[in-house]
Amino acid sequence: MAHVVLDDVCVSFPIYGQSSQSLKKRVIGSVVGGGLSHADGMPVVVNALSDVCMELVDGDRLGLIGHNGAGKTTLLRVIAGIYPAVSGKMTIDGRVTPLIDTRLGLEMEGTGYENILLRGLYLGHDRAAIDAAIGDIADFSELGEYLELPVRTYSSGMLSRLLFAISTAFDPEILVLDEGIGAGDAAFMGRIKKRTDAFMKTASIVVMASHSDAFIQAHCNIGAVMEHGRVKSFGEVGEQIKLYQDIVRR
Amino acid sequence: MADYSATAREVGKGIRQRDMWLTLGSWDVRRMYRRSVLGPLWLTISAAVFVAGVGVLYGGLLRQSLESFLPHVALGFVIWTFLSGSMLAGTQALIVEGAILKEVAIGPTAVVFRVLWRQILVTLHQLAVPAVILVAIQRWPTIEALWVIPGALLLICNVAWMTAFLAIASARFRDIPPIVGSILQIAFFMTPVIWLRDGLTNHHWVVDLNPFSHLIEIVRGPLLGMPGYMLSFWVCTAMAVAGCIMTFILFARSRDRLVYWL
Repeated sequence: MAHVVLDDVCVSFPIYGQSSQSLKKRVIGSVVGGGLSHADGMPVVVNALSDVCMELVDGDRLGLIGHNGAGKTTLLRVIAGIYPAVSGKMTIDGRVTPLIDTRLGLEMEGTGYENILLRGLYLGHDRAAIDAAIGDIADFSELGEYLELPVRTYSSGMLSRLLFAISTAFDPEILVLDEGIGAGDAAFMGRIKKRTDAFMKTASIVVMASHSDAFIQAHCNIGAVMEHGRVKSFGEVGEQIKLYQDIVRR
Repeated sequence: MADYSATAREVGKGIRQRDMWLTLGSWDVRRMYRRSVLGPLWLTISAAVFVAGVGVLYGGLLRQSLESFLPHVALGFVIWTFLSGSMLAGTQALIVEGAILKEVAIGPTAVVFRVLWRQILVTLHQLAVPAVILVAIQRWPTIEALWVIPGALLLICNVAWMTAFLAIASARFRDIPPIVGSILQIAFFMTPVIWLRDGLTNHHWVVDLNPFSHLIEIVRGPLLGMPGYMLSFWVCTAMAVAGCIMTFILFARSRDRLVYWL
């Protein structure tokens, strides 16, 4: 059974930029006793998440609600195991399928088949599992012989169909999703919706961030409103969406 | 603070991800030559052009017979390219290839292995040049040449820790890539690739204290039957042990921060 526990998790980003990512500053700093660098030689730090606590169990579908910069994507990346917590404890039991950037690892010069392989490998599947999924991806995307051509020759509709088909081809355990999946041409919307629903159902735990209240309402049972890197409130999804709308209106 | 057993598990995970890095590494080689007619054969051709040009010119300058000098230059150049190419690719490994680490939790180990495998494949293409030369001049390896097997493994082991170390250090300090670039440029001329150690009348220490010349010697020495490579074996073994420990400690201490540096 998949299980996610976050206990007082904090995440902060050091911003090196101009100040201390260069050796020169370090060397000069140590020679002149730090006079040239920042007061204490520490880089500027942005606190992206503060004291996040939550527990998710099998069947939970969590929607993260909040304006841009509230920390939604950062929290997704923490749950996906990408950002280690700077302080606090976390346990992630289960294989995570991160769909944060759907263009992940896309090689425009590669053929459709090659991109299926690359994406599958990045998502942590072995070649046997990827080979088994190719038929399904080819069927759903209806790309047929186009899969043998470089992806750069695809129309944007073909490309988004391929990316969607790959993203949804492998059964997820813990699914981490940034903004909805599956934009595409109108004729496809019905099939995309059906496949998205089925895909989400196979997951044990789903965590998603979206600006679309409707998408969250449709797919989640729990909601969390985020503000300034903190989870402001956590509970039944309809309630949370209302809460957030009240904040926005104020 | 550093969690060494978790770091060891992470390295183990990286090795088990071989499906990923083997495929991605060979994909990288093919991608470099996409839409070119000769493809990766260009790697072989450019090595051949260098060896032919430099071998003949410097062979003449240094009054060496081509039969002894060409294999020396060819093997030296291919091993040097492996060394320097891996180190330069290492400095970029996490900065460029590692952008993916912010999207999926594949871990930095697999990224470094991908870069290493790519460089090994490039080297295998270039090895055709010394092989053809050795056949052409009918210089057959003796039983002693079997030392090339431990030699090559030791070389790869050393290149592996250097690549990993530079990958981590460069992610944090962005001055390291240009520093490594300029050091390698001058190191090429300080290393007996296009000249011979015996040609030095003094300053033998330039060769003897140069880690690169030992790394080249453990592969080139056995193949060409040149004496004196046993010392290089000891030097390279010591370097491999010390380097692997040092890199492991660096990785353990930076593992939690690495992705924030990208």
